[in-house]
Amino acid sequence: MARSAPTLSRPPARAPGGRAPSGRRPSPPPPPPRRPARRPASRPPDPRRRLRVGRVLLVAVLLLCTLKLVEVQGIRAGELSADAAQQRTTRLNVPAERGAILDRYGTPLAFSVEAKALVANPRRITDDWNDPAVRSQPGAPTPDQRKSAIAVGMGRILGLDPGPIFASLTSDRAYVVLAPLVDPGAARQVREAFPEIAEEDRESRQYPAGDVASTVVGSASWNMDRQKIRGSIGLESALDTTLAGTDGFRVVDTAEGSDAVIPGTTRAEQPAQAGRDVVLTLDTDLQYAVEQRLRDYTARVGARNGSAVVLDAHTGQVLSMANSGGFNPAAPGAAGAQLSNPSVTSPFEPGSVNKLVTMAAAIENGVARPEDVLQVPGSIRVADRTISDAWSHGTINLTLNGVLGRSSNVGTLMTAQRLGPDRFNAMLRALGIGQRTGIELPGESPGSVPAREDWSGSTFGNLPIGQGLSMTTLQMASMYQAVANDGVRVPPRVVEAEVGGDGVRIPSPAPEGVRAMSPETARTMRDMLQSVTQDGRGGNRGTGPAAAMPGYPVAGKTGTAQQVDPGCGCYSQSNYWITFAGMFPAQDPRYIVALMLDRPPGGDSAAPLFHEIGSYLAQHGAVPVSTAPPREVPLTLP
Amino acid sequence: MSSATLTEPRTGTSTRTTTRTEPRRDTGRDAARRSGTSTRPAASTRPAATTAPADARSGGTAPFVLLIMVLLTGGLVATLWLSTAAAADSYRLDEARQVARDLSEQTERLHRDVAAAQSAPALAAAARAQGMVPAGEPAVLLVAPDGTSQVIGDARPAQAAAPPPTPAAPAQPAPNANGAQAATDGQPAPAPAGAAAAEDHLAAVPSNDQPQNDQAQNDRPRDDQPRDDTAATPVGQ
Repeated sequence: MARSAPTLSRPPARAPGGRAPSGRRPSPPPPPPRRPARRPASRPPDPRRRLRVGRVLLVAVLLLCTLKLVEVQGIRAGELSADAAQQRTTRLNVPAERGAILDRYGTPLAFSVEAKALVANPRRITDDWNDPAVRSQPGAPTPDQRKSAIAVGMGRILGLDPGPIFASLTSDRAYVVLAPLVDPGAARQVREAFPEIAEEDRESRQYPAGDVASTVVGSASWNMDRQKIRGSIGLESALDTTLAGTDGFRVVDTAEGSDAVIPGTTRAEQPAQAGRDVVLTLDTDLQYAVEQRLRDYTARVGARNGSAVVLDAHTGQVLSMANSGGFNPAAPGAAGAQLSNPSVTSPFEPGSVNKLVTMAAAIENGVARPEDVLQVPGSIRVADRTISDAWSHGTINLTLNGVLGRSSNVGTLMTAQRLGPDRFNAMLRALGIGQRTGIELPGESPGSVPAREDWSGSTFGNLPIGQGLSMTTLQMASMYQAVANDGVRVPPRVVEAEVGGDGVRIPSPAPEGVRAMSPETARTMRDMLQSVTQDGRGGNRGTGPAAAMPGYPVAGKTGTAQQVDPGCGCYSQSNYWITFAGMFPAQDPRYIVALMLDRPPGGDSAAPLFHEIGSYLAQHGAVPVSTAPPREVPLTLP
Repeated sequence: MSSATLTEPRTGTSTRTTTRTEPRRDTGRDAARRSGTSTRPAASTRPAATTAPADARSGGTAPFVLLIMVLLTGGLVATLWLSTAAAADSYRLDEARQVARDLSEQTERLHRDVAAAQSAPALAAAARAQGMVPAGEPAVLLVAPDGTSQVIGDARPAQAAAPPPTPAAPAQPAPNANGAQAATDGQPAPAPAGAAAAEDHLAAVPSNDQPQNDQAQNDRPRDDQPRDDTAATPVGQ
């Protein structure tokens, strides 16, 4: 029907058109009375020019559009889409939960809980409560009254002193942290009561055992720059990557200028990968007991500090690593805190404990046997130095058992000279002295042993008696572990396994054992070391009978080393390192205990401390007692 | 408008032409006009068959409209009901989420408290607060298959408040003293009584230990000095 109308109207249009030449000329005269001027002006452009102009205009507009399109889609595409994305899209960080640190039985030593930091903008609070609209209301508090109300309210809810909160709120700053770590429930309560307070996500690191194993576990705290909890001391620092996990993210659209997520706009999402839990070889109960005994004993003898290491005899795992100092991991900056772990970071000269090296090398190489009798003079000259025993005597007959049991320097040096420096050096290296054990703890010291080519004549008069070289308490324990483990030294480790978020336990790779001596030599050494704790009469009494335990034969060695006096650069006559390293039960050892005391004024032995720790270990580990009478062999012969 | 006024006089001719063409087109537009005038002759030829559907059609419009209205109303009501239910559910969901969040926070808090309470230092402090002392070295009783027994080690009673407190842990004496005080204040000295009773059964108590222990236990409720007493006593004895 719409079509029919034009067809119907066309004929009349055509009819005048068809007669155009004849019809138009006569027709102008009649219209003039109506519209004289317009007719001639509008007529000529009417049909085609208008179309042409229209077409040109349309094409021009189209061209403009195309150009703009090319510009928007092609030339400025990246810039514009980046701008758009910046306006809408927000990448939200999904924090990964930090893994826990557990002891060998799963007791937590460190773990994380969710927490909130309460923050405020004091300037804005002042401005808001100074607003005329607010001020005009009757009874509206002044900014200071409001801030005081906030401080008191927060103090009541969180159980804090309102004083510092009020001080922060009244400072002229745009951002203050009022409470760094608050329980989420309490934080919500505060925010509901005081809308001026905002909260920020935090993670609070909990150390339920307090300062127990603090020097091993270390400490982690919130890092504002990384917006993440970060380990700064100990294993928390060394294993930070494992514990921290990987943060995830969510790309969402947010309302401009705020973090309000527009629902259903998640473009991409990567879940956070929680950090792995780390299972240590430590036993918390044992660690506590050893720490208590060590601190108690260190205080009793007045030593500057002390350290103790307990190893499993067969696996080399560290069951306890204690230092007399420590710190509270929740506040590591407190006064008197000792943040380092001297058991692995501070080497010392071991003294007679090192006589093990000479004896083991001599037995291993067939240079001497335990029953051999040595005619030991009062002193011996090595190169330019004269070395004497700790007690004055003329020439006496000591068995090799007696040389070790009574800790004769002269007898040891006589044996060392028969052995020769090369074989001694080889055994020293096989026992791991002068090398890092490779334990997972940070800052491990390798100790120091002079290089073989740098040995002077007197060097070989020092090293066999444990002076002129240094080792850590851990290395000392590891050395005796080789003897306990039938000659194979398994480098000590403190991380037993890692547990992923899926609960899969990944055991740490077992370190490769190093054979230091034959099983026969190791067995002989365990026998010989029992001479030290032998409580015979007169010349048959060892140097450490105080370490002996009823029902458990103890094999060990006492040590006393002179410290270097920094004033004269010589060995001090008053400052000593007192050491003890031992194992029990001697024939099939379960535990290695190595002890070091720094500068006890009376030069007390560390043997009683071994006894205390050993007694606890025997109970704690339910070690079967032995009914055999204590071994007693002749140390001194007439 | 100007064109319309011009064509006005010629409309008469145009109507004329259309009337002329009408009969011709009529035959050609049979199909188009079937619904209108052309159906009547067909209806007369087939009276019964065609009238019935026509009646049904005219009678079926109202129910159809009704049906649509009912459907629309039903749909509206259903939508309203669903959205109301959804809103109500969202409140319940919100509530449930809040409860879940509170519970998970409570779990975390309890985990933390349990971990803190079962740690070795906390247990030691709690034990001390109850008047317990470290057990010291036990003696072992070995029973042979033939029934004979052998004591290995030296059986000695645990000494109250020994070993002396470690100076390295200055925080410990306070809770210890307070705890002991609290325990004795709350109940009339149950722990010392129990400890004394236990000691009575020990045959191997050295005679010089008994008065010392009693002294320490009697001192505790009065003042905080048992530590000083024992600090003067050599531990090893």
